Amino acid sequence: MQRLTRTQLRRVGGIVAAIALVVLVVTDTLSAETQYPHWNNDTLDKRPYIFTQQNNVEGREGAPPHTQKVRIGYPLQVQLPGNPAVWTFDAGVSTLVEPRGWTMVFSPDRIPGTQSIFVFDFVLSPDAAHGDEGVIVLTTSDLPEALDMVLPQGVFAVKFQVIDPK
Amino acid sequence: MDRRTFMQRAAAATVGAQALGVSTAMAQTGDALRSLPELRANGTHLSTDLIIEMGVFQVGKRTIKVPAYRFADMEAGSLPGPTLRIKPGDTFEWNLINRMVPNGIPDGATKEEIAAFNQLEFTNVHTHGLQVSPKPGGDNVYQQVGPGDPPQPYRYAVPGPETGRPQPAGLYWYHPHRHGSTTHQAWQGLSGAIVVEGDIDQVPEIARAKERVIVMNALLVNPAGEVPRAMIAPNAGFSPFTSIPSMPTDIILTLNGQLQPVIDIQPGEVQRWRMLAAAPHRFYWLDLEGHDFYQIAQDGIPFATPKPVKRILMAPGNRAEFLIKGSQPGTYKLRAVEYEQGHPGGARPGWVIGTMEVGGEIKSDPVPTTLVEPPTMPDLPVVQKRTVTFKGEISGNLAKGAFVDGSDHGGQHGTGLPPVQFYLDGKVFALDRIDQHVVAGTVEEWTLVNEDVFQHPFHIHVNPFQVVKINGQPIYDDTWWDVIALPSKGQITVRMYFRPDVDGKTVYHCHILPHEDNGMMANMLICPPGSDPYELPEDNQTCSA
Repeated sequence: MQRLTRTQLRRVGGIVAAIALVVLVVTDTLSAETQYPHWNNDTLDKRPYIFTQQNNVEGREGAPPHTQKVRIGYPLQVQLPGNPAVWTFDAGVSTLVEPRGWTMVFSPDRIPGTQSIFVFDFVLSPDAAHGDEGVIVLTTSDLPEALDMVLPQGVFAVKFQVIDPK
Repeated sequence: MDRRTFMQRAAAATVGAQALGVSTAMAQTGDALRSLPELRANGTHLSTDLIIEMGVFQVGKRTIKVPAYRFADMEAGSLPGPTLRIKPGDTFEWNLINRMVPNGIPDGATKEEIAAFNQLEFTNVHTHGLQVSPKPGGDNVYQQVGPGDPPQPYRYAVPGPETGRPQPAGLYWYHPHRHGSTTHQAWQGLSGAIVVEGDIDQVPEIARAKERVIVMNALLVNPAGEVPRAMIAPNAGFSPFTSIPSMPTDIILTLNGQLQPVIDIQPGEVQRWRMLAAAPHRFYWLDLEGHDFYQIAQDGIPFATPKPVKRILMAPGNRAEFLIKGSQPGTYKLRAVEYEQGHPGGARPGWVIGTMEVGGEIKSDPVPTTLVEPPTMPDLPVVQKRTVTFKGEISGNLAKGAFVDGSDHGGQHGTGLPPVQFYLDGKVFALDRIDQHVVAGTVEEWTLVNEDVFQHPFHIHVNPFQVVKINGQPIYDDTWWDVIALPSKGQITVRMYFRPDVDGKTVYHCHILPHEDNGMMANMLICPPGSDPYELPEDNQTCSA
């Protein structure tokens, strides 16, 4: 077999690198268009999907419907400003989640009329499967004025769809 | 995957990856603290490219995929970026080249939603603390460079002795400063140290000491190891921000891109550590178990004598340089102590960010008793006293436009309700508004009023300042700062000298970068000496009527 000169080797190397670059770009493009790419660190401790009042679109004027994607295996958490307002989980309306406790974290003077953040933990129901849709709803009857537009009527809701990239 | 397998695979990947301009680096918990790549001026001039390319980095058990800086002569990028070494009187220039690629995209995002965040890959570069011209072509934070744009040249003339006010020798840094994407890129670790070498390096005890440049980053990543490419809102708990749409996030505090590295020192040895707080949000209340810090400089400007302190508070953007003297053999934790900076949900948790191992031959290095003559505040009258008020809104309940010039900070989901809004003097940042006209060669006092629980770190470009009052009470401290954390619901008065040889339009802002990106920044026009711009309106972009 004929041996390649150093210049030819450089050219081949360049072509290989160019092809690899194209592959990389194409791969990146595909992964950008793929809805649910692999998460490299999926096996580490799983942090929750956290939802705050800013994630709420329920009842907000002009807000188009929004459905949050949630991967199977990850916990969920809702954080809402309260105290003296008290937030409660509406188990009658919520679907596809199970509560895993709640607490109040002291957070004074960040948002007018609230002294704490209510933190609710959830997990997906054991039978949740790819494509299923659910909702988490929490309510309060004592909504502070400072939250009247972002949480109209004292209702927080986040709709979600379960995805399983595997 | 065990470590050996990972190292082998990563090494194999590196060979192929570097040809593609992709960076790789590895760092496991407990590795020795690494030195960052460096570039030094040859003579009095330096010219290079400052290239941003995508990289893959191992940080502890995680694989992180972020853009990284490299200089032209480097084969691969570095997390954080490489260190630049210059001297007062040098000139340096670089071409900023942006090859960022979007990642961190929320599951299910539509093409329109993806396109709405294209601005997060636009960038520029700021040389934080350098007393150089902010004009176009210089330290111009209004420039923006998109992915694939032509290289953007920046040139800097570092003040030398001939100016009568040379750039103090110390630690400065560079980082992106494009309004709206600064935070995102800081969470990706885009930052690098600038070391200005000079008189303090000649102090014999310091000249003999081993030097470490340590960059502290906070990486906010999703389980893909990517920074969420979405709106961000604060929350309580370990990871301080969530995204809209939500994705799980983790916060990782690194030293030189490593998770909990080990720093070695001999008993009785004196080392010089230059530490940079490059995280966009986290305050570092530094504590080194069993050791004092002998602080020798703050924000790049040296002290006359070392100041022994037990702890050092570093707000985002601060630098602290100090000497450490190794004590008895053993292992000592370097901590970012739990600190209440006003974030929703209370104090940021304590972290062990590294360890120091004391061992080996006993030395008896001395700590110097005197350093150098620091710059002094010129004995000039205070020509203007101003008040700047800081206020933030984190409920997500106020419509855009509730504050002056708020129209460019839109709401999510078409509701017109931005997740957060931050403002100075009731106004969010507007490119074409001049909030303060000042005059080069004069001294002013600014009272910075914080109406929030959040501790806003005030930063101003070009000129450093001294603190003269806290909550109206005089303070007698000749420390120079370019970032100072305002107390919760309190105020600080600073005195600053606008050096006479630098004019132009630049900014002052909160250095909690999510605050800055969401409005807490304003423009200042430094007019040439002899100007009288004090009565000019905000829409006057010049120094005369």
